[in-house]
Amino acid sequence: MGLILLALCAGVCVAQSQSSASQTVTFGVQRSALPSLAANVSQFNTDGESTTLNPAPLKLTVGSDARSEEFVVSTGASGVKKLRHRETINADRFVEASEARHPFRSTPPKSVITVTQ
Amino acid sequence: MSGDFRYLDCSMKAKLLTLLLASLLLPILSVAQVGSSVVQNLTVEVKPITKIAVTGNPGALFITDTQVGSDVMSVSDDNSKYSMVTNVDNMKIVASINNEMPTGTKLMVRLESSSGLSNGFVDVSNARSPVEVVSGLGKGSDLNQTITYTFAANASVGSINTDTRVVTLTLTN
Repeated sequence: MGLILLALCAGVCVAQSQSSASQTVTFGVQRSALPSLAANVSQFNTDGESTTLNPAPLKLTVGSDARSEEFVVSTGASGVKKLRHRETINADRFVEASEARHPFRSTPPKSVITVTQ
Repeated sequence: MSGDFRYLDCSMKAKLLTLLLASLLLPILSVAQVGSSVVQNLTVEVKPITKIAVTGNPGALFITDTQVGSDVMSVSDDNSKYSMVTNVDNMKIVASINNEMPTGTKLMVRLESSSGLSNGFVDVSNARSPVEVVSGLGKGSDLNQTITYTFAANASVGSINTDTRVVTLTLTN
């Protein structure tokens, strides 16, 4: 009994030397689906976590199934990057095509472009 | 003969006058000696005092797509403040959160302190148990000190609907 009273007394003593205040923090992440892709693209489809493009003229690319052409793109994470064939890079949600070079053709080929979020 | 003082010399007159005055004052002295006294015992004690208070809640921390080109995106708010007072030495302020933050996100808090030592930005994302944010607080007060919250999310994190967490600051020894 004495021990119980002692423990209760100790608990009260500890409580007297504490004070608390609380704050409510509100947060959220608001992302739109590939916001930088739409500007110069004539055709693209968004399906879940990826976007498939079939551009003409080619303005945006991350990965391409075209065989001999080089596509120059810039991304937020990787900077300016040259791509050949089908190649998928981490676009870090931000993709912007700066140039499409076609050394052997005057018109861009039909290419399927895949952008992965 | 009685009542006739003409036959008394001057010294006798003076003695007689003194005796007369003394007899007149005696009742007054007797009254002054009548009194009453009481005694009270005062018990004085200063209890340990610890008090902390905050000014409302921080502003909403929303990350949007306007922040591109970075692996980690973050937003901060420093619009809320706290005040504390204590008469106990070696106090500290600890912070805890009611629920863990979503995967890939981080909530950090920094408490400014002019009388103690701020631990800078402290990650409270998983701080179900309190973590120290200010240490070395002595007797005295610290008023209107800034609280800064930073909410960060990895680039791989998709949209997260608006959510809340309760952060509790405790002044303790």
